[in-house]
Order: sequence, then C-alpha cells, then structure tokens
Amino acid sequence: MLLNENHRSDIIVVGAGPTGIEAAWNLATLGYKVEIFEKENEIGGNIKKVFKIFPNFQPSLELIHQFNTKILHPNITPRFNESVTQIEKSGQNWQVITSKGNKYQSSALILCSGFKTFNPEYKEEYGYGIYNGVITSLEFEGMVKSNKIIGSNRTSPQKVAILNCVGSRDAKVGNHYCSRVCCINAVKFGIEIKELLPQTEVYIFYMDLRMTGQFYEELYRKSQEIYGVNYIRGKISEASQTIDNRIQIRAEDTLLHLPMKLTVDLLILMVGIESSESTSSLSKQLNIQGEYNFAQSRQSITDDNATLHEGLYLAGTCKRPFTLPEALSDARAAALMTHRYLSQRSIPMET
Amino acid sequence: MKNFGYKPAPSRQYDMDAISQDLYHRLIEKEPSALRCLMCGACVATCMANSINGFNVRFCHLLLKRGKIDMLGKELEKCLLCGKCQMVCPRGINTRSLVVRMQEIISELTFKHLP
Repeated sequence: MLLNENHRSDIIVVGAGPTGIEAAWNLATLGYKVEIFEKENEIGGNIKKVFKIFPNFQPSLELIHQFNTKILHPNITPRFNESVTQIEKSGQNWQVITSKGNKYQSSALILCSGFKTFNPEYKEEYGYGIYNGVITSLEFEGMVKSNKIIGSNRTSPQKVAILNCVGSRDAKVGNHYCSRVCCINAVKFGIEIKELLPQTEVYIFYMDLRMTGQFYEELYRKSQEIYGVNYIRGKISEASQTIDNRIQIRAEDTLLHLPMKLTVDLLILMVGIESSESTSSLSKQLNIQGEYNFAQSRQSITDDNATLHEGLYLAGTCKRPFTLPEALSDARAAALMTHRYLSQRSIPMET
Repeated sequence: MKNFGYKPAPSRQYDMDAISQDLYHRLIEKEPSALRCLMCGACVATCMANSINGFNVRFCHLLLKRGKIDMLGKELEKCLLCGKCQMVCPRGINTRSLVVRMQEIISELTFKHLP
C-alpha cells in the first residue's frame, strides 16, 4: 500500500492528554511536524474528569483552555476519534495503524497513552455498584463540578467517609504499588465538602497519608486546623446498607486499638491508577511492557524516556503513576530526547 | 434463665454514631492547636511519666476525641506537667496546656452538680 504523503510526519504522539499535548507543542515550536492521535473526540484525557487541580485548586478548565491553544500550533496535526491499534518499525521509520485502518509514518514516536482508574467493583466488600451512596473519586469530581453533593437518600449528606487506597497497595487485586495522587486528592475532597456543606462531618480513612508534593502537607494541616476534617487511621473492611438506606462501614480505629462502625450518607472510594488499555496493548506489542502492564523505559532513573527501541520515547503516566506537574515535566524531557535523536540522525529519511 | 456461670463478652466494637464530640469541641475552643495532632506519638516517646506509670497523652487526647471518657480523669492525673512533650511535638501543639484543659473538662463534668 502506497503511503499518502499527508500521512508522513517527523513525530507521532499517541494520546492527546496533558502529557501528549505538552510534548507535541514543545516539538512543534522547534519546527517539527507532529501528528497527534486521540481516541476520543477532544483533548484532555483524564484531566477532563477533574474539576479542580490539587494543591492550588486551579480549575482544570483553565488548563484545558491552555492545551486547546497549544494544539492549534500550525505544526501540529491532531487526529481525533482515531486510536492507534498497532505500532511497528518500518525500516528507519515508525509506522502506526489506526482504528480507521489508516497507516501513518514518522521518524520518531512518543507514547503518551496514559492511565485509567481502578474499577472498584472488584472490591465488592465496599458495595460499589450495589448501594446508592458508594461512589468513586471521579464521580465525586462530577458532583463538585455541578455544585451539588448528594448522598444515598438523594439529599445533602450529613456524614461523608472517604477511603484511600482502593485498588492501590492491595495484593488482593494485584496492585502492590502506591498511586501517589489519591492521598492529596482526598484532602482536597475534604476541603471541598467542608466549603460546600460546612455542617457535614468528613472522615478520611487511611493506611498512610503520603503528602509528598510541595504544599501537600500544608494543605493537610489546613484541612485539620481550619476545616476540621477527621482523619482515622484504619482501612474500611466492608460497607453495608442500613434500613434507612444509608451506608454503614466497619473499620479498626488502629490508634485506639478498637474496632468501630460508622453510618454515613456518602462513601467515596479513592480509586487507584492503573495502566490504560492502550498502554497495556501497545507496550505489549512493542515488547516494552514492565510491571503492572505499564510501559517500561530503558532505565527508570537515568534514562527514563528512552526505550529499548531507537526513536521510541515514553512520557507520563504510561510508565507509572504521576502527578500532573510531574507528567508535564516528563513530557518536556521526552520532547528534548526526541529532538536530540532527530537532530543527530545521520541517515536520510526513507520515503 | 439458667446460670451457666459465664455470659457472652460484650462487643469491643464502638459505635461512632452514638458518641458525642461535644467535649472535644469544648477542648478545641480552649486549646485549638489540638486540631493539628498527627497522632505520631513523639510526645509519649519522650514522656517521663509514661515509663513509670504509663501515662499516654496521645491516647488521652484520642479518647476524648472519640467521647470515651470513663477512665480519662484517672489517667490524666498521671501527668507530671513537665512539658517535655511540648518540645518534641512536630506540629507545635501546646501539649501541656492540652492536658490541663482536658483535666478542666473532666472536672467540670464531675463537679457540675455542685453549686
């Protein structure tokens, strides 16, 4: 099959989330022709599902507007509703086959295929999908966005429990790793609930609170001191429905050495980060699949964007859980690596 | 009913819905820095009294927070009020004041029926 001349570019970027756009835009400003593939009909990826960004409560719409401006760069060709199904090496070039059956070629390729969240139906003891009032963190973002937090009885909740580590640090679901963003996200939720409903009691159940980023610990302290969010060390073992349609949870108050039960109107499960379907399948095809189906770089400390294949680079959450600023820095790093590879390539491009 | 000489042990589980946080809120009014507590236990690790009589300021604070005050008055008497805990607290809580305020709250409860 003859390749359409329009289907040739310098760089192909897989995924138009924040990481993909940041990498593509940086390379476009250096003069490279970039083609960016997105399976959905708009940019943003997982950031679309978030209302405000931790820890500074910046509306995610602001960021999406910025990315929307970046993708308009004349050197970028976005291709929406077109997911990459196959990636292969064709001579010196990379060739991708998309869901529309089209073939595209480029000299370098950056994989930014991102993450998906854990499906809490696998943790059936929490009753997600069975009881009203048990929701995921992403569904809660939707509630905050619409400015209306509703509990199991379709009214404003008086008590809300937030459970960390659902699908992370859990051998039962095969995810031994920490998803890194849920702790601070739970703190953010606590503050958002207290701001919308000051009378509501918020209980955050945790195993450890990992406030690793800048201003995270400060935000945690603020949530305790100014907003009066309750933190209980202990993982919820099960949730059940009461006769008046509320959610009763059991946990050990580990600092008090006593088991406890608590009735709440809303139970928010902080679902962990897993590798997305595209990340899993593409990294498997390319033979660069690492642990937990994430893509693996050549060396995770000193050479974290390159892979075993020349001209193939990784950026963002296709490798492991990242916070947004980390993913964006990683995108810029991948862009620089790609730039260096393309500028040092001595062999002329095949056509 | 037949007496077997034993009966089922009461459940150790406590019901968070039934507890009252009124006393804790009074404590917060008196000593707001208590809100910052991380339950790290540095105060207990350095405590002079703890190694002798088992006084545990972190646990006393948590008992009051969970409304479990049965034994609290007696426990709080064990404090020497030396203030060493205050020097090690990573969140800068006025722990000695915390103990005195808890003592105040418990004694107010005990003597509130008196004129």
